[in-house]
Amino acid sequence: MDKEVFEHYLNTNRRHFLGKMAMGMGGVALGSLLMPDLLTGKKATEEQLPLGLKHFAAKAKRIILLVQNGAPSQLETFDYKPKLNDMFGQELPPSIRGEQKLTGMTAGQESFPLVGSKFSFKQYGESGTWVSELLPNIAKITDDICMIKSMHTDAINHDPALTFMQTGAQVGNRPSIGSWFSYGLGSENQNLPAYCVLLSKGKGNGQGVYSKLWSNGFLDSSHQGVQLSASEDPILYLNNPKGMDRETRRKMLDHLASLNQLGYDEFGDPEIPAKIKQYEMAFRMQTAVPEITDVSKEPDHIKKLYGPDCMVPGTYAANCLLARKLSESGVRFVQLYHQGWDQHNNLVGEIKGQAKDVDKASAALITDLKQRGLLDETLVVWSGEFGRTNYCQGKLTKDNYGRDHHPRCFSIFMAGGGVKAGMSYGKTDELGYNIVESPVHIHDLHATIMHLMGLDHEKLTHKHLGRRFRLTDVHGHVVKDILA
Amino acid sequence: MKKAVPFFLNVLFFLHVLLAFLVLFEGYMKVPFWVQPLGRMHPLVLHFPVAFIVLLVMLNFFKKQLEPASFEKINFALLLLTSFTTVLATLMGLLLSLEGYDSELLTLHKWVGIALCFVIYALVWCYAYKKVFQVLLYVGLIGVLVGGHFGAGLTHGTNFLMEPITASKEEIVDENTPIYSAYIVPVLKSKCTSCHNPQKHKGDLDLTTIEAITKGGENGDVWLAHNPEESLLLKRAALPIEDEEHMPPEGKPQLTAGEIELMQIWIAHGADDQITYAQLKEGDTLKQLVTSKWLKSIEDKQYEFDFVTAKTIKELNNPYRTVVQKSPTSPAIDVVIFGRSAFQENNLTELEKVKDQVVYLNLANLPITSKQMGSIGKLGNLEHLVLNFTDISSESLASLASCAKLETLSLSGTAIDATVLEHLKGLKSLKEVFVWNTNLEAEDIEVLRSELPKVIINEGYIPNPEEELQLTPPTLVNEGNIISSGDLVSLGHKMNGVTIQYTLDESEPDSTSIAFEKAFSLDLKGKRQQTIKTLAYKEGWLPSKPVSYVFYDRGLVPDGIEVLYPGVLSSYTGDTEKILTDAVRNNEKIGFSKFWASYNKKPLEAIVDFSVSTPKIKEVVLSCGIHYKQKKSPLDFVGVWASDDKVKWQLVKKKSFANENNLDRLEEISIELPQKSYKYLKIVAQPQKEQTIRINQLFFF
Repeated sequence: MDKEVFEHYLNTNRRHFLGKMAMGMGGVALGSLLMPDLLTGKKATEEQLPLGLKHFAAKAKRIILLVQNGAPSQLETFDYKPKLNDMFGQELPPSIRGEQKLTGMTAGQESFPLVGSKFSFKQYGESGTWVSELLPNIAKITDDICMIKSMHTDAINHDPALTFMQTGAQVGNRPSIGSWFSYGLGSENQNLPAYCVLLSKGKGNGQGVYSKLWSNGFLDSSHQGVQLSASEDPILYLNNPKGMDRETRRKMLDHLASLNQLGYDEFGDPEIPAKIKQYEMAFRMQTAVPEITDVSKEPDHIKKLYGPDCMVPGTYAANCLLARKLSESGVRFVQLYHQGWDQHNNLVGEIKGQAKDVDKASAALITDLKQRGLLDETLVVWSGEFGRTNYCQGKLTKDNYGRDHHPRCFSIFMAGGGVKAGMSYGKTDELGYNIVESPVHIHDLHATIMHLMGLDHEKLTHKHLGRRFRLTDVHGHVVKDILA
Repeated sequence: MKKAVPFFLNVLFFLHVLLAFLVLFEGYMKVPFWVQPLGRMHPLVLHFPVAFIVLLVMLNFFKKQLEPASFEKINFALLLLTSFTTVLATLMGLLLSLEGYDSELLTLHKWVGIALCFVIYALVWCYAYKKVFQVLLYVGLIGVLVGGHFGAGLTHGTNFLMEPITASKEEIVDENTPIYSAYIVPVLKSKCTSCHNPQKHKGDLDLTTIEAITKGGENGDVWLAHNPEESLLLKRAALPIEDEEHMPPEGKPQLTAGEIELMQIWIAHGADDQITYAQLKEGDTLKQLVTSKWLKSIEDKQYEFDFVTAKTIKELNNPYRTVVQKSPTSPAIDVVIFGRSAFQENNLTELEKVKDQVVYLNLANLPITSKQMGSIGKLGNLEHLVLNFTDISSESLASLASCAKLETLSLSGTAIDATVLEHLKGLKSLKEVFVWNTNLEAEDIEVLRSELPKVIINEGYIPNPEEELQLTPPTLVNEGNIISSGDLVSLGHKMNGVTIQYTLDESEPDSTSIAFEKAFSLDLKGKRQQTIKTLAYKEGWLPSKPVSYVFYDRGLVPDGIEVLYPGVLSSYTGDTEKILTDAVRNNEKIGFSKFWASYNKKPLEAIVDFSVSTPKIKEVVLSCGIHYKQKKSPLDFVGVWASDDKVKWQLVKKKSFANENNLDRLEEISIELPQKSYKYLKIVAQPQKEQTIRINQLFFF
């Protein structure tokens, strides 16, 4: 009898079903009390990490990004493809090109004759890294650098590609990579901006560099890159006017601060203390900046190392030297742009000058950081925005040719800051058109740079327009193989 | 009983739905602090289901011995109780798991627990189906054993149960472990020593210890340092597998390609059983191999010292001192102090508060002397010290003796000399020293290298005396290039110790020209302009290219200037007055810059005031810029009006340039006036239609 009773309870009728559902809803309701963000789409585990601290201990503290604007040809610098010389003038096989779209500049071209480097290559260092004769000084430091020959990007024209390289998106409304570091790690030296930008121009065909490339995007404007002037006086209006000494200036600032304080006490506007702080920073910069920009105290042989151009303000060499001095003084992110690498035609003639401009100083920067024991904690990245085609743009002659934009592969190098030294990573096919081994996308490069600086690229986010943004958006993998 | 059963069933349903829901959306869960004690009751409650399940199994096992009616009653009641306590324990366990446990073991325990909970609940539902009930019951028993075991592993450690039997110590491998014991020994252990050990010693060979290996076997030495090709071990491994002599023998685990590569390179490196990863030089093939294939990524370095409070760190930060924790999970602290002119000693002494935590200290460019070094000596856990370009000497380093963990020391640009050796000798952990640009000679560095074999001595860039580079030309120190006769002119150079030579007679300068020593007075001798040609010399450098600087006569200086319309196309339009009268004359053919006031459509109308000085004026000169793309004259006319009161204007001169073909002539437009005193002059320059003129300077003579 009892058994039947039990079974009766276990058999479900509609009333039971509805009654149980009510209990079930109760369970769900109780459970949901523990999940405040269930319906807001935010995961509890995505909690914001504290800003200003690394997510994990990492060697690199600072970055110097050497942007070779215009896209240097990988085929004349680091990616040695002798097969192209053998196949001089032959047509690019359609199977290699695949579905690659071309720029408006060569899309109408009837033939795509392959052309190899006019410049010879040799292996250098214990690592046996291939470098062309155009870059004899970089060749000398191959054992200190990590060459990545399998970079690729999405964009095919300069502006979107450069914007992509800088901000992780092709449209120009996102924070620049330097702004992200300023936001994530803050300034190391409170007397200087966390993100400085230096511009220089080679003689080759140039492409525009705009301030949107070092914009803070939706981050606080204090994270914007500060462009230094290419003159004897890199930061303008820092000197006291004639007749005012430091003591007087101090008194004036103190008085001004007390007046501002009165204003703050009355109105409570947070911009007022911010203003007081800015005056104080400017006051400290008055001593900090001359200590940095004064090149005359550099030993003579440093000027030999960087090349005599380092004494001419606004040159790439001078900017490299200044970059070292800024970085050494705790500027988190120093970014150089060197224009003039866009060799659509007359490549042979133009690239020589371009390479000469940057070769000595780029190598010098790495050597100089190394001899000060700072290379371990400073990450140097040398990169263009994309590569160049293996076929000739325009008229192909025995002595000269041009190359169009090529997003499918290009070469960059990194040094210091926890990157493996003396390594070549990734491989392109024999014709230097497609990547055959270990591709590294721009998002991957960003993720790797962030990792080297102690930041998890998935965790450094900023909420804007209702979503959390990252430098790597929803992409990016850390290239573990190149980590030391 | 009749009322209790539906109640219990409802409660069970409720709790299981709750459990299922929590499990499904676990990622969103945030446990408020007041619920945490509930989670922590998990260890208390879990013993009930364990005991109840065992009891339930036993009850069913002895079913036949019991009276059926009471058995059913007891069995069902016990089942409900079991299910209730199981789901309770599981819920609590789930809450507890969110408090930050994170291990594979926990995941296993959790899922077994959850599965068990639903199995028991299924028992309630399958109660009427005895066969299914029996099977599920035994599944439940297995579940409780397995889950219980994982749970015990969580609280007591995984090897708790078997520890007394299997106790053995796991070696910790870090960068200071010899490569041999870290990577070579494990290979031998897994592939060789099962036959070549003191008990078995096949081929009279024992591979268990380095001493035994050095002794070799009946066929001789196992390996020859620096000679992998002749090393028996590798020769035998390289033989075809069918070969009698091939090792390890067919059928036994073989050496992998990676293991053979490691052996080869390690033997080629010298088969040193003591060398560690840390001692290998950067770029060394063995180091690269170990890094890329063998080294397990070194996680955040573990420190034994405590965290300091965020407040202490915050207080230590000031504009000239940055104190920052390595990461949220590392107590280690990095410190950088900036600003030579702002340096105060307490910036260093205050670090006493974090003396155990500071592992990195950067004092580059500061006026640090022996006096301050004592404060650094107190930082016992310091690993990385940067003293580049400080004022220290070799003796200053004596204070570092107490920094037993110091690994990297940067001394570039300091006055250290050969006596630095004795202080470096005492630093046992030292791995790398940077001595570029110091008083150390090449032979001193050789001594350092031989005396400190484990330390990498980095001497940095040594200039090649053969390499002769061309100097840059001297620069002009004067801010402008418009002067009055007799004004001082100064030249300069960024390089110290250069000789600057110049000429004033347009001849090419050379080493015999006038040497520049200090600012000199430039006499224009009545000319409108004067050229200085100059170049720089320095030993070890090629002389610079000559460079020319042209100075222009300022002429008459007006008492004031007023421009009616500031111009267009330039962000500097507001400065037109300044542009027209500053001391800079631009000579380049370029577009828009702060040096040019630009006009299209509307003309330039400048009213110049000479009412106080009233000099005699005979000529007005407009210095203009011509754009490099310009094809025809952009200028319509230039006119000069005069007035005594700025109200009534009288035309003095007007000149048309609309048909001027030689554009070079437009760079300096001269309007000659009848020589006399004018109080006010109005200069008007009208651009042609759809053309732009750029004016840089106004001169009056």
